[in-house]
Amino acid sequence: MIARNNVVEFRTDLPGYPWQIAAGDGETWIILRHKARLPVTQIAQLKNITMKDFNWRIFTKALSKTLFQGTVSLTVQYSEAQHHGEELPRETWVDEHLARESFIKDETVTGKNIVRKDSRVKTAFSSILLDKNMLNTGNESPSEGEGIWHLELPWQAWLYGTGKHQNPQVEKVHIAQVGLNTLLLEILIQLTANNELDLLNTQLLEYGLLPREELIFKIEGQEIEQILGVTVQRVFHQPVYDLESKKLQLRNFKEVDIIFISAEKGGERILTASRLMEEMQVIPFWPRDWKRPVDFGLFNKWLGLVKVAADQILFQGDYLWFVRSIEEMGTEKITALEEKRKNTLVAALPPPRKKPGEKWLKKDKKEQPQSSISKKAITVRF
Amino acid sequence: MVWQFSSAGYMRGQEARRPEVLPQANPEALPEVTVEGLPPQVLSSYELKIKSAERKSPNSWLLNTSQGEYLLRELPDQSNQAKTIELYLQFSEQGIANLFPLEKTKSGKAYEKTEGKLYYLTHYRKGNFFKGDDISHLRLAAKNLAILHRQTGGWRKEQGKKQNLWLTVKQNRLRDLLAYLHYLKQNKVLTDFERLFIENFDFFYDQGQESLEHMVLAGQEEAFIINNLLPENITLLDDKLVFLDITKWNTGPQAMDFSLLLNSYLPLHRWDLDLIKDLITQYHQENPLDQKARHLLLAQLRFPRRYWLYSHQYFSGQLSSDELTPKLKRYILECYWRDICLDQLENWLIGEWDKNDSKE
Repeated sequence: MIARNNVVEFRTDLPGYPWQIAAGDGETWIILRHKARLPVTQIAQLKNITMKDFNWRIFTKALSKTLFQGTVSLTVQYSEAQHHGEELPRETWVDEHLARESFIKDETVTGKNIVRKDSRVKTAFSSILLDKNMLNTGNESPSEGEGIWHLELPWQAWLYGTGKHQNPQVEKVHIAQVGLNTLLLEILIQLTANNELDLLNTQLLEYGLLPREELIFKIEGQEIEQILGVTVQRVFHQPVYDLESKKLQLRNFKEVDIIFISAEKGGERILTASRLMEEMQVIPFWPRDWKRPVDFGLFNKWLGLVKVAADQILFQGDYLWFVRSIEEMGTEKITALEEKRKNTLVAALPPPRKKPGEKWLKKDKKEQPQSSISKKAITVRF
Repeated sequence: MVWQFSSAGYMRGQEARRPEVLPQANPEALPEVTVEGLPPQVLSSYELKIKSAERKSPNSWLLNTSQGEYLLRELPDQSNQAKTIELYLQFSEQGIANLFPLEKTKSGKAYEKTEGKLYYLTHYRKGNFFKGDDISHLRLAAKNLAILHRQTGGWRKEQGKKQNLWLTVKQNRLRDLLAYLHYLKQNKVLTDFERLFIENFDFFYDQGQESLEHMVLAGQEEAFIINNLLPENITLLDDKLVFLDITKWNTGPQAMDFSLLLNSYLPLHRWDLDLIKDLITQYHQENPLDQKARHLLLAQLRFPRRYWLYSHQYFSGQLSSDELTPKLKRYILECYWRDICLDQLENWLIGEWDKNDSKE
């Protein structure tokens, strides 16, 4: 059991381009990111974001996951800067002379002697963060001195879980000016499925609710504006049975991803923080059977997040442990599978290399001449 | 009062005329006024009768005497500063037209040494203030700088083998920029200065590389370079321009001085191509620029020196983003014009120039 009210430190993930995905059971978050320099000298102000289209389809389904594909297209309206006096060079000679002086005199830089006077994120550039309910869908008409940036971004991602899926949603759109004429766009898409334990071809033998887990997640060096969600994915399950106490220990690793909006303007704001943690649950009075259980694990029944400080959130999780059997497969199914395996790929290998000096060695007359074109084949089964 | 040369030496330039009247030393002249912040023995070491004195800067005084106006300067007592004054004397004796003549002490020395300081005296005449946004002033500056370069061009005392130094320095500064970029890739971007730095890195780095390409083809003999073309160091007298201070002098290719003039004041004219061609022509008429010198000039104009300076000031913790972002922003906008101007200038200076030369 994981101790309650423990503080777990998270580190913000490096923002990924052009996409970043946080996926867990029944929930996938896709962050689409795009940065572009627009063909204008300087952007003065961001005006508006208009959602032109958001479409999706199910591309394929596997046993317990579904691949979604789609595109999102939108436009960003901005105004161009009109050049006024303050943009004109001033007292350039002072800096030119200073540059001349320190150009030769000053030491060459290494990463170690870099110091920044500013320690906090700050910006004077404009940005817009919109919730799904606030997105415009109409037509925009730019006036004089304004421009429009049109984008169409494709996306695809797996949604894990067997429950009925809900329609993918654009949850947030963030646009920020990150230079004189560079714009950064972030779109957050959520895919969800109903929270159901996958019981396909299985039979639930034992299950139970674990005590609620409560942890404080602290995201290092980050000021959080809004928590959007959390995903949990478990891997490397390993059971250990204690014969004396008759307790079953379920051990595994879990990766927790937190999806949140950073309060710091001036760059990427839709961020994820993740951490890989070891998890162990003890199932008391594991009964009866001497055999290792066929299938077991934990199921996220409910996950909750509440912001409790600028950089801290309270995480609460209810988990269901389960042990299940897998249905015996009929002979017909096994035969069908065997048939499938006969579809094999034959790969030709190159003829073996002769040993050095082999052709000058005397050959036994009885020895059959070896054909240089004889081939060996290996079979690779899928 | 008309300013006159105090000494007549060997002359190379047309402007360096032999003085007709020398200031007359008056043995009875003694300092009658005490000057604040100045040791009395300094004034008594010169044969001057001071009427009034005015402190012009923390280390210079304007002396009004019966013989005319003089400028007294104070320098720290260091061997390189003593060398500077001796060099000034040497140029003064050569009759260099663009420097006020140096006045020797009673004992015939170039400077007076006292209380850990060096003092030297030059003639002075108040002229017009140099304005970089005035095209006529710039033309005059280009011409007079060329004259100074021509007249001091024969001076080779400090000649060293620095040919590769300038190239190496530029390479090192580009390496600095790369170090800053890698730092930002590994650390969180905090400020608008850093955002502008990243946004425009490729453009400026390319400018630096183009500069290096010219640098490889460049070359010019080492000579005296004044290294100080700030407005307060320049005074305009009739049709002539005088440089007040040479203490920042160095040895190097003369194109370094000329590029400093262009880099300093052409931004005020939005890197006007016709103006820069005109200024180069003015300079070339007085002090010809061969092809290697022209490559050096282009290399100096191309290098993103202020991008490096602002980055250096920022990443060494000297100045904050609030102080540097407006400067960098203006420099980026300036370099849009500069880039267009230099592309065309390059065609003219390297391609067309040589064709015209071969026709002649």
